[in-house]
Amino acid sequence: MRFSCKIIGILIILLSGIYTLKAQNQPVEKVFFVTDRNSCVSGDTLWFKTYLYSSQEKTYSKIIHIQLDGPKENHITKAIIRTDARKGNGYLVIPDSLSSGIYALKGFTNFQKNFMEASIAKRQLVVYNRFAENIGEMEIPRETGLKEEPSKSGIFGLKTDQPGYSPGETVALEVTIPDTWLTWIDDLVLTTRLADPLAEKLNAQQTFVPILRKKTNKEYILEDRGISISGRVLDAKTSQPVPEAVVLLSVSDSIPWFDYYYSDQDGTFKFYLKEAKGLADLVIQAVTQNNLTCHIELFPHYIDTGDDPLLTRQVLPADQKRFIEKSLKISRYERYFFPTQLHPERIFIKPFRYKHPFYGEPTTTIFTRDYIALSDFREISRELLTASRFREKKDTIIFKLINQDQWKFFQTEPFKLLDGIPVFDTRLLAELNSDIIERIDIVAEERVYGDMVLNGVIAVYSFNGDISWVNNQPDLKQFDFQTVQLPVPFRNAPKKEQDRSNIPDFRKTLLWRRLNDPKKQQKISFTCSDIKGEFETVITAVTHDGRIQTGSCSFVVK
Amino acid sequence: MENSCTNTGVKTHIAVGLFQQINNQIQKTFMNTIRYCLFLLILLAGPLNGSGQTTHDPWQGISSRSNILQGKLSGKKYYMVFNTNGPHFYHYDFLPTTITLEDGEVCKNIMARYNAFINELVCYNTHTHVLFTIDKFIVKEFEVSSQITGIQRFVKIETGIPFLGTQFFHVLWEGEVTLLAYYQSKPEKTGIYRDRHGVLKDSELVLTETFYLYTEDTGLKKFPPILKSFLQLYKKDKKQVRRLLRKNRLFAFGIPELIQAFHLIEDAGIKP
Repeated sequence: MRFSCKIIGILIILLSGIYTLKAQNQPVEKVFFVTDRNSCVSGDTLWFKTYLYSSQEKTYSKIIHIQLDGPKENHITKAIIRTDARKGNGYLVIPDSLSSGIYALKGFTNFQKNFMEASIAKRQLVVYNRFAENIGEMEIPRETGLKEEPSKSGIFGLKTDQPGYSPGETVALEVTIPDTWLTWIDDLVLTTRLADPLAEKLNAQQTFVPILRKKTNKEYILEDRGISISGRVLDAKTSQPVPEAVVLLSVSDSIPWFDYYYSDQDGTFKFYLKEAKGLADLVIQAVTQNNLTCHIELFPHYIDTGDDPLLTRQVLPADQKRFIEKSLKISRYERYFFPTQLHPERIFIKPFRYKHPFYGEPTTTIFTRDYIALSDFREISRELLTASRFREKKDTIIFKLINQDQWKFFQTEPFKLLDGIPVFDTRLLAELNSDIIERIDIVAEERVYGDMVLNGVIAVYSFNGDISWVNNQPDLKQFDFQTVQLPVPFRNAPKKEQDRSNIPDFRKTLLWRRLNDPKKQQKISFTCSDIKGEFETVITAVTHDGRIQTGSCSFVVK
Repeated sequence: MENSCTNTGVKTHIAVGLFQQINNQIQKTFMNTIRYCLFLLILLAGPLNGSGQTTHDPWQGISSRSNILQGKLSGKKYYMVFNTNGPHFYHYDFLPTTITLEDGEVCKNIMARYNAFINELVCYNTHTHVLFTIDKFIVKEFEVSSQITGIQRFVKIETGIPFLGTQFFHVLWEGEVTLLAYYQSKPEKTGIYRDRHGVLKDSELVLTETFYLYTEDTGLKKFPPILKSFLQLYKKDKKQVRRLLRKNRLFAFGIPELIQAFHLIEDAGIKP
């Protein structure tokens, strides 16, 4: 009895040891981010700088997601940014219609979703609706989440040459970093912003909240070169998930991008868009064995956290009310003088391209402009596509290509693409004529793409590349998908210049800089704007081992 | 008597008639059976034939194993050629290969072998059991692992040499200079003979090796693996190189000796 007890005991110790080792070997990622402001008016652009800590030296995420959640954890908007040497920059356009309240900004990587114990970086953002009047009270969340170890006061020396300045005056800021810290610091960000009493209090320390992960066997990929796209195939009639459907993703272009996925048992699918930037125009369709009409839905890339922000309605103090009034007034004037707003551009930089599309080098390419105008595709195939056969039988049209390796017709129709989007109904091609078609690529050989075998390919490209026809096809679905944000330099309200002296300077953020080569003692100067009030300078440092240290000082513009 | 004769004649006539009738009946039944069988055969053969011709669709081989997110290999379907004599392939079998694509993606454990006749890398898709020549424009380099020869690295090089174009070269030595081998199966004239299919032939394929040397200054140049051309590379330090080779007893000059010589010279810090 004693002997068996001993064995059980040893086994338990061994198993716990293995579990601990496994847990230690698990890669840990943690996102740190700082914003140029802690409060803003709806319609403003919020800027942020990120840093990724990873326990892995070589393999770690290079894509960071920053999302804006509402007071009740509802997802509002997000930005996906690419990092370089673990550091990144980005922006979020705060929706114009957002009501006043306290919102949460969360920073995470897709890979973090795999771990229940992952810590998601969170900051509070106070938003004031630009059209709101007399904001006297607000729902303020009870403090939640794990607070990062408070910074020891006096680690970083931040000192201005004067306690107060007048508008337009130059501020000389002296930053002192101890020698012992210089070797540890991996990222250092300095910001000087108009101090919002409430927002500064809420964001005194960096907060991390636990992830809320539903029990699932899904694996979230490590996004190092692009972003993952996931979604689900549903039966259009019953709304039931469709397993074992071949989901086709295409990005229309002169060299189209194409991929496929065999849907899982719960109808889910995923793709990986490498090197994609901007707003993508994706076309997704599902092919099933019994020709089901499918509905495709894409999963948003948001994260649900396990913190429960208990909101309590509180009356705002008089100084806070004054600050809000001032902020709204500045915002109104700023809009009046500088009406242009920053919006995510609709440019899409496509994934990595080879010299030829996925169907390889075409056997023949025909440019219709080199020939006389032909009225329809039947005419085009007869006159220009010599190694093809176009037959119309009652309601059906059969198009076949000759296999150039065997000099006989393929038994089945080729893989047909219209502006890079696979089409299975030849009637779609039948109406196209020389005025619409720019070029036709013919691949008269058996092609292999992954596990797909294609009996020839015909790719038709139109002059204008317009894929609006997709909307008339029940099986095809077009999506506007926000991929990695295109890098945009920090934009602020313009500084006062000599020739524009009559235009006020509305900058609320006076300093927003990453110190790439921090020194023991550094002097930084910047000019004050025309806004009067208290300004807060904050230095945020992240160390190699994933610790955060902050320091601050303030001055007044009178 | 006449009567009896007449009776006998009538009886014989009736018997013959009856026999003919029975014969006709049998023939009719037999023909009907054949017709019926033929009809059945046609009926059965139709759908069988039809099902063999029209079931191909591109999704046939796709399963959950096909879900490779990092990138899929593309190429042209390849059929083995049996009507030529001599080696088509450089490698003796399909071997585990690591393929590095132009976009930086690395595909590991792909069963592949280099076809020196068409100068393409032929891959075997273990999911669909399809052979295909991988698109050259997507490949940057590949490494074939063999128990016999170890790891062999092949790189794609745009030669700029007429009639050679972009080809895969086996990297034999990589240092200050890069020694490359280009393999090609070429038909060579032989005496007239009957091949294993009984066809008269007068040529057979022979696997040839051509060596090239790549340096940043000169680019890609043919390099005969002989001592003379080796010494030509180190014109300034010819004596020193000769002494080094002699010291290490490198007299015969084959590929292994050439690689050893490059190794020695780079260790000695001699530059071409």
